[in-house]
Amino acid sequence: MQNHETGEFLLEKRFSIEGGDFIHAGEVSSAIKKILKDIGIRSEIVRRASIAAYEAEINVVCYARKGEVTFRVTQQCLQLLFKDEGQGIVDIELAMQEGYSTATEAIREMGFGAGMGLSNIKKNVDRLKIDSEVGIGTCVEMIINT
Amino acid sequence: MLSVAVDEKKCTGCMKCMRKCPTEAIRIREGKARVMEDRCIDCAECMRFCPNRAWIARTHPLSVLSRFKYNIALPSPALYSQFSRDILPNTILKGLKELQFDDVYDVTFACEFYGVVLKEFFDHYRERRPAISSLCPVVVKLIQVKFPDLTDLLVPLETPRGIAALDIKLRKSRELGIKYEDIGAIYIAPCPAKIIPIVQPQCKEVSPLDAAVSIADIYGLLLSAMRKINNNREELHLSGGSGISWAITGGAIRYLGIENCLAVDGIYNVMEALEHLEDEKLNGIKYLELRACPGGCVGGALNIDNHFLARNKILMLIKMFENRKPLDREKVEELYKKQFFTCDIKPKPLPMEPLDRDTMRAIQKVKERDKLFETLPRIDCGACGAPTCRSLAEDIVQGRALITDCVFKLLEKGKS
Repeated sequence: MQNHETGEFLLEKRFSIEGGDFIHAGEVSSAIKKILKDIGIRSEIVRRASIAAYEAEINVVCYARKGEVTFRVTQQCLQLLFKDEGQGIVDIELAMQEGYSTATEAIREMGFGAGMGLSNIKKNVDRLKIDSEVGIGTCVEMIINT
Repeated sequence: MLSVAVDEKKCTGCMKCMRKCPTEAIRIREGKARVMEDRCIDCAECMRFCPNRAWIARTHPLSVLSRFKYNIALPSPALYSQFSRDILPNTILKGLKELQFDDVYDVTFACEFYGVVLKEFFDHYRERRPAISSLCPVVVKLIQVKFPDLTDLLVPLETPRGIAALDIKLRKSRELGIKYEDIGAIYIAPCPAKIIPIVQPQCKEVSPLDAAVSIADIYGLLLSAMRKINNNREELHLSGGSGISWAITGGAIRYLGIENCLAVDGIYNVMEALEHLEDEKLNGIKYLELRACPGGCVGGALNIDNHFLARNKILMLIKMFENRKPLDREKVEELYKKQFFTCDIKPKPLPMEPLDRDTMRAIQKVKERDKLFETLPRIDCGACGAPTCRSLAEDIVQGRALITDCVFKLLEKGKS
C-alpha cells in the first residue's frame, strides 16, 4: 500500500506490543479508539477500527515476540499497520476462515484463539493485506475509509 | 442540571474529588472544585470521597411536601437495608407514614411487577447485542455521554419507582377526588442521581415522580418516627423476596431466570463493561445489569450504612420473605394494559464533543496536546488544578488553562 493511494497522512502514532503480555493486551486498540473519538471520527468508523485493531493486537500478543503498530489518519481513511516478529502464518487463506485456529491450549484457556480474529478484521475493514513469512513474522495492513 | 453542588465555604480544594472523578469532570480553580457540566454523570464519587463534606446533593428538602395537597412516600428498596436487623420493612413504611407523608407505597412491590415484564421482554429479545438495564440514572447518563451508540440498547421500560408512582397517584386521585397534579409522589433516594430523571424524564413525557428526598436527610426523623408507630396490623409491606432483591446488584437476575446475564457494579467496572460491549467483546450476553454504586443501590452515596452490611441485610430480608405469597399476575396485566411500562420517549445520545468540531483542527489539537504532554512532568500531581498531566495538556489546547499553571513549568520559567 503506497502513500499515493491513500494520500498524505494528517496524523501518525506509533505503538509497540509485547508478545505474550496478555495483561496489557488491548491497550493499543484502546489508545487508538480514544484518539479517534478526540478527533471526532464517526462512531461507526470508530467501532470498526477499534474491533480490527483489537483483533490484530491480540494476534501479536498470541503469536509473536513483539510487534510495532503504526496508526495513521489521512484525508480519506485510517491506516493501521501491525508488523510483528513471530511465528508467521503458514496458510493465510486458511487462517482467514472463521473458526480456523492454530492457538495453543494455553492461549485458548485464556479465552483467546477461537479462530475469529482475521475473519473479524476482514469484516470491519475496507482493505486488508497480509504478508507473512513463517518463522520471521507477519505484517497486517488495514485501511478503513472515513 | 447537576445532581450535586459544591459548598464553597467547605471546599478546601484538596483535589480528592478531582482525582476520583471517573469522567475527569472536576477542576480546581481559585482553590475550589468546579464541575464541567457536560462531562458530569451524577455518580457522586466526588461526594463519597470528600473529606470536608463540601459536596451537597441537590435532592429536595422535606419542605417540598408543602407543594402538594397529598404526599406519598416511595422509598428506594435500599432503604430497607439501613436499619438494625430487627427493623423490618413494614415498620420502616409505617415510620414514613408517621413522618409527614399521607401515604406510602412499597416500591419493592412494583419491582416484582417490573421483574415479570422484564422477563417477558427477554423471552422475545432476539438482538445480537445485550440489552442494558435502565434503572440506574448514572448508567443512563454515562451511556448518553460516553457510549452514545449504545443508547438504543437501554431496556425501554418505565422504572419500578415510576410504575409505583403512576399506580398510587391514579388510585388516590380517584379514591380521594384530588387532582392528579395535587398529589406528590416523593421518592426516598439512596443517591443524588435519582433527581435527574425527575427533572429530565427518560421514559414518559412527564416524570411520574415529583420529587426526590435523600435517605440521609430524613434518617434521624425516620428513626424517631418509627418509635412512635402503633402496633396495628396494617400491612404496608407487600412484596416478597424477589422485589427486595432489586436493592442489590444481580439480586433480581436470580429470580427472573433470564439466561446469560451479566451484573456489574461500581462506576469504573461499569465503564470497563461498556468499553467491552462497544468493542463487541460481550457476545452471547443477553442482559447487562449495570449499577454505578458498589453493591447496587445499597451502596448509594446518600445511604447511612456500609454497603457490605447493607447487602447482607437485604440478603437476610430476601430469605425471610422468600415464599411469602404468589405474585399478583392480574395486577401486572392490569398495569401493563394501562401502558404503565411503556416508554413514550427514549434517552437521546449526548456525545462528548471532540477536541474540535472541525476534524482537521481536532487533529491539530491532538498533535499539540500530545507534544505538550511530553514536556510535562507526568507525575499527575494535580497542583495545576487538573487531574492528570494529560488533562492539563488538553485544557491548555482548549484554552482552559495555561502552561504556567504547571508548577514545574513555572519554576523552569522563573529560572530562565
